[in-house]
Amino acid sequence: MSRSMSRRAVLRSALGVAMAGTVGGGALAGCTTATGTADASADAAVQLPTLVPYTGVKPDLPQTAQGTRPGFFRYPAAPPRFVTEAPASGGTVRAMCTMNTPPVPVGRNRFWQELNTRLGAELTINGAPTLDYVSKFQTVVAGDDLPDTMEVRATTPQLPGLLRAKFQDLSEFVGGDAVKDYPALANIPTESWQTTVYNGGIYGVPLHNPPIKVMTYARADLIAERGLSLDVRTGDEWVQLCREMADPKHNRWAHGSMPSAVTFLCEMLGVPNGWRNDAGTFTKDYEVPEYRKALEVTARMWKEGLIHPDSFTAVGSQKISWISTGTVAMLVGVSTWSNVAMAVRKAEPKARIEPIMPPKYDGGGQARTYLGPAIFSITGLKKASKSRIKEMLRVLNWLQAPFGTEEHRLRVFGVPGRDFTLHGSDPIVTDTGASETTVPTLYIGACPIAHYAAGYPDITRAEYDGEQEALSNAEKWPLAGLYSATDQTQGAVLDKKMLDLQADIITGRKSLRDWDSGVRTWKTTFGDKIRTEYAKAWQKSGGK
Amino acid sequence: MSAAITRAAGRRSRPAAHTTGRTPASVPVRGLKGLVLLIACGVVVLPFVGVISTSLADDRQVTRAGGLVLWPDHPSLDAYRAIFAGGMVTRALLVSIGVTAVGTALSLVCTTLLAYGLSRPGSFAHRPLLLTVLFTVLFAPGMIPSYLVVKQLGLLNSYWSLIVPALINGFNVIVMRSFFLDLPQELLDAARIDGAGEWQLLRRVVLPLSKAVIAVVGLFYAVAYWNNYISALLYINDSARWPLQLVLRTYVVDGTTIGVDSAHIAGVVPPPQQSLQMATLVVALVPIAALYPFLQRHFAKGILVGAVKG
Repeated sequence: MSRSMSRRAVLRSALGVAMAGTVGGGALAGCTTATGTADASADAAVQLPTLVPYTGVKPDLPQTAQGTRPGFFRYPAAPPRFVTEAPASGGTVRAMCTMNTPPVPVGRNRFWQELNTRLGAELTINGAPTLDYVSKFQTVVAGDDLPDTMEVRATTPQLPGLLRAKFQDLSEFVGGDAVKDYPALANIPTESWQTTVYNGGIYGVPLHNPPIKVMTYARADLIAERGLSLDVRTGDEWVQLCREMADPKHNRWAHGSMPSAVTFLCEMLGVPNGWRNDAGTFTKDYEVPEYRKALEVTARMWKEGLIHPDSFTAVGSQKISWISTGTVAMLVGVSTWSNVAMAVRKAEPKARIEPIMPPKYDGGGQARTYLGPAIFSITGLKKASKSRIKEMLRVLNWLQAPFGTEEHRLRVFGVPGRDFTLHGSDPIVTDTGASETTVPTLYIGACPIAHYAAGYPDITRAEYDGEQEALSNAEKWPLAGLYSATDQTQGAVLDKKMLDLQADIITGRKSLRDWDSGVRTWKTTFGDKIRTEYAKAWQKSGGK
Repeated sequence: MSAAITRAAGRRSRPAAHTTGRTPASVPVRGLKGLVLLIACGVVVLPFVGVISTSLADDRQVTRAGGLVLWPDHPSLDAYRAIFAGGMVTRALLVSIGVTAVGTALSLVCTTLLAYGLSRPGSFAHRPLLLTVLFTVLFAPGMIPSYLVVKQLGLLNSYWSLIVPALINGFNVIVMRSFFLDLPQELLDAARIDGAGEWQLLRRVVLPLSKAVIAVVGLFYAVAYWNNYISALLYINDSARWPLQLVLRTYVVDGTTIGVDSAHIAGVVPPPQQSLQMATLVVALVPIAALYPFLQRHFAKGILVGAVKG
């Protein structure tokens, strides 16, 4: 799937990794700090990098103060050079990151060779597929054989201790105006840098990800064909729309994304965004009655046959097929859904995909959409001499070159004439490029994603407008800057249990009474402990 | 003359029926049995048919059929062309074949030598060695200790890291040892009287009599090497050396868009993913499945050794 979708998939899969408290915890136990928690007050004092947005290319749709990303109807015709000289001075740059598609080896890969020439060093990548990255990460850390750069996920157990023990504090290199030495890093939104702050320092370079947690989008053309509208005003209207679109006897379903459909309903019902923080009193979303109501509504939809029976298990590519052929009318994805829309359009030229904003369940306007952390992961740098750290930051600066620059075009689309051809100014990847450009640089260093659907300006516009609308009434991520050691080690396991229970209830295997019992168990196992830790972290941070 | 032959044949056939103590089943019962067997065969065969058909079907048909096609309307090899286009599946296939062939051969040599030694009462450190082998059957090493050992042996990023840690499997040693223990002692004594040493005994007497167990244990090893992806995941840093199973896992489990991670951004639509996934499954399945017919005749005899002896 697309880059952004893949990243989201990684985040979701990371939540399901149950090894955090077992093998992983053991492997990283040696990295635990004395207290086992981060120092929230020191974190609050960290000077974050100064934001200097890149203005070298003019977008068709401007970046907004609320965080809507710039949109480009066409790729800039003459991409400017962003970096004038090779960032590295020979040798090898070793990186470790997610690798979902093994690329053509460097010996036969002109793109990779060109990348090495431009970087001034041989880039070697130790990769692992999304679902297995955690296992690989644990073993490499345990073996104490860290590469120069390493993709570090926020769900890593004992993260503050690990970062302190193994990775470089970058505060003196990128804090405040120092980041201006690396213009691409200065172009990364401040909200992303916030998530790299641990132990009173900046421990890595963020890989930016749009913060909107979920975005529901639908086949607007199919809905219009039936004389219906996406402009639903209440939860009941949305369910009714689903009823109108479903026809199980003919393999037609209204919805194809589970359990994400529950999140959409949670937004409608005003359920907390994971947690609610009322002046230091933390409430988990599971605990509120509105969450129970979201489950009840979804279970009813399931029983009525509105949701595709494989929704829980199908992978992204299957879901693209479903929506392309009209098997499902709507899906839940992320705010960068233009890749899906493009794939659908290719398969079905008259298809039109549009986002649906969640209305308040009982009416009265648009509900608040959820925001999450604005990163995919952190690129940590192994401890090294100052000159080596600066060299690595220059390499990351090259890789993070902004959208529309010559470096970005090379990194994403490959070598002109070989890996892509130009249709107008839009680079269209060739078969060779499809094999060569899978070198996973996007998991090492990648600029903030712009709205861009090559050859489909209407899709760019629709995605841009959808993001703008969602951000206009969004609920911030309540855990920004807060750390709970228990949540880090046990949270994923607990959430997995609750998701399993949720699936059982929706599919009718269990009842809502089981949910009440499950929530009680959640509280008594680790839930209350996590709550207490977040409350303490919030107090330490000065209650901001 | 012919009537006499017929009578004789009739006489010969009656005692056979008498010794089995059974009367021939009625037609409906035989029909029912046949039907049950047919259903059982269908349950086994249909998933294979589904996988192969889906790999040959187009996206619309796959979606229409709900993910699994039983007969493609317009068979096409596009999915196979796509997975072999980038060269990574071809390369991974060669890696898997190489590791499986070399690993199986080495494993058979080491396992045979160890099992034969452990089957000879009074051999050097017989009991401690046997207990050590049993220990590894009961307690497997963890992921990180294994990684540290492989690292300290300097095998990281080498094909040997896929072979050495799996060279000897305790269960297979016990199966083979049990088979060796069953060989008639008199035969071995006779060979000794004729002047054979232990090497000659093993090479000229034991191994020729042990083809069944060698075939079965060889198959166990081959399947294990073929299916192993976790070792490659942990020990191989260079993706050019990934075996097929790791590539396969990427495509099938992660649902990755094959070969077009970045291309997708530029609007390139890949062939239907389920067809690609099924084609990759077929490619992974065929080489190892092709081994079974050659080992079939040894299989039943060999597998029983491990089942009834400890």
